[in-house]
Amino acid sequence: MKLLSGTLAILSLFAFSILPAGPATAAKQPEQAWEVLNPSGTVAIETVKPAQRITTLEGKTIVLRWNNKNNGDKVLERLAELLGEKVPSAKVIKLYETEKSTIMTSGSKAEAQRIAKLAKDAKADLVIAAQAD
Amino acid sequence: MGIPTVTITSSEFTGLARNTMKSIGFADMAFVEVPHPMGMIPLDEIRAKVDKAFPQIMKMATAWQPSAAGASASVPAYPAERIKFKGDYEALNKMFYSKKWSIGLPIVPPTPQAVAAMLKGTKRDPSEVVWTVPPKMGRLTVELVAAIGTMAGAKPEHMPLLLAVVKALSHPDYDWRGSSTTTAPTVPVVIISGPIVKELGIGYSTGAIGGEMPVNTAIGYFINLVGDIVGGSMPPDPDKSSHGSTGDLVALVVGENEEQNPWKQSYAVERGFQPTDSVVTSFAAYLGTNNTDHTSGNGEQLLNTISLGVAGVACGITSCFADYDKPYALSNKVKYAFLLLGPEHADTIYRGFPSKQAVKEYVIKKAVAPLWMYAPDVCKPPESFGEYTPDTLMPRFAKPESVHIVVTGGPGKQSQIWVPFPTGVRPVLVKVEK
Repeated sequence: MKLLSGTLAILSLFAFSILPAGPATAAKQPEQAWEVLNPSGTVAIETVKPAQRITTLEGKTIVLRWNNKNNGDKVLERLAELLGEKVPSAKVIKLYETEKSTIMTSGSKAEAQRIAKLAKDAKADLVIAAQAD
Repeated sequence: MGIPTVTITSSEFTGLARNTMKSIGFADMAFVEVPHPMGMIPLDEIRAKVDKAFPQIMKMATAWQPSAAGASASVPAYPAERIKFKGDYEALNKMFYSKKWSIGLPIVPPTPQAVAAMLKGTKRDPSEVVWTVPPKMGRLTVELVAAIGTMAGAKPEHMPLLLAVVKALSHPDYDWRGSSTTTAPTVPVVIISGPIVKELGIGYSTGAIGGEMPVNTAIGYFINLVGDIVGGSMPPDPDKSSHGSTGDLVALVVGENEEQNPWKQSYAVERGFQPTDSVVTSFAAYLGTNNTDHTSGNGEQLLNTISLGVAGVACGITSCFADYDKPYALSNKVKYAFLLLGPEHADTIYRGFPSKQAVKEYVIKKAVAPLWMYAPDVCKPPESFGEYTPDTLMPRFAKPESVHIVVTGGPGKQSQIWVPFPTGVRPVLVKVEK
């Protein structure tokens, strides 16, 4: 095992490309036995239990959530029209009209929770979100 | 909250949506994909796409069930796995790149010996998790800060600074997830103030943001290695940056040029720190712009051309009357600007503006653009503004607090203007703890 100094490695920045199809390759270096740390970090994600699904939209409250991406509101406007035609017993709430502060991509967990709570306060049985872009 | 959802995504962004889903703990969610794009297309095309997708939306709303969640294996965050490898230095680099352990530039191999040497630069426990890095939610331990710092060319004495940078980037006000997965070419910006600038030889004068600044480069390279390797934000998913920038390789790291600051008060001190404190200031930025003004003979003239840059940088997404103290919203985007003033420009401005506050008040008056130059919907003047037409000049900012002044760089008639990614709440300041 051989530890390269930082200086040598930085100089190597200019010596060759490491990309798989790199065009310029330096003279073959001697093979070495390395021991290195895996820098990728283990993943820590707590599994979330998904919400109970619904099986009908009849009589349900459907909350439409727009995240501010261009035309996402127009997607939901058309969707609201179609829901009104196909499921007239459903109550459709456009959260982006009733709670304008939700017109945003939630930049933090706290913001995401705030928006989710507003949907819950609206007694949503289902949230349909348009991401668009 | 226990509410079922259906999420409509455009086809180019389903991958990002699924990645986000996994990173917040869901094994599966109900997605309905529509053909990309959805933005910037006529209304009739949007409606046609929704009409076509509607049966699938109905099906996903009422008939879809999530697949069973697999039990996640509990893998300790510390110690990091040790890998044995045979080959030359080039082969080692290729192996790192193939495993997504590097980002296309060569690395200094993080051998156990090199990492142990780096760890001598801090008293922190190597097993401490200092950041769970979005979007992958990889756990960054102090040991991995040392390993990745090694890879980037940092030295043991840089460890306290690296840890302070990590603390800043991980603050919710920074919005690492959003800024590292957006289609925009965002750049992590780190400004370093205080005695540590000279102690570590951080570049703060000529060429400070460019090459031949080994400490700045190592810290900037470290930031992107952390984000891509531990955070997993690599293109094309989940890093959706349409073009990217060299800021994806080496972040912008610069020291304050405090000795040539005519106002005699560093940015960190202005923000409440002591002159003896070493401080990191960080925010996620859109690509900045440069002011090259060789001819303005006084502060007002120079601030006029700088204000033009303030009004124009990050064009298309910026709001008028952006309010520093109000949250991100459709009409409150990109709500502050950093002026990285070259010392000669700073001197010129100082002659007419002996306080930073006076500079800020002037800039918010002069950084204006006609309403028609703002993108639709993002410029909503307050009712108190009165009547206006498309030609009315609208100020970019509502308050002087939006203007942040840092003196940096060397001789020349140059300054830079950097503005934040819109969901970034505030610049994050962190004291370097030795």
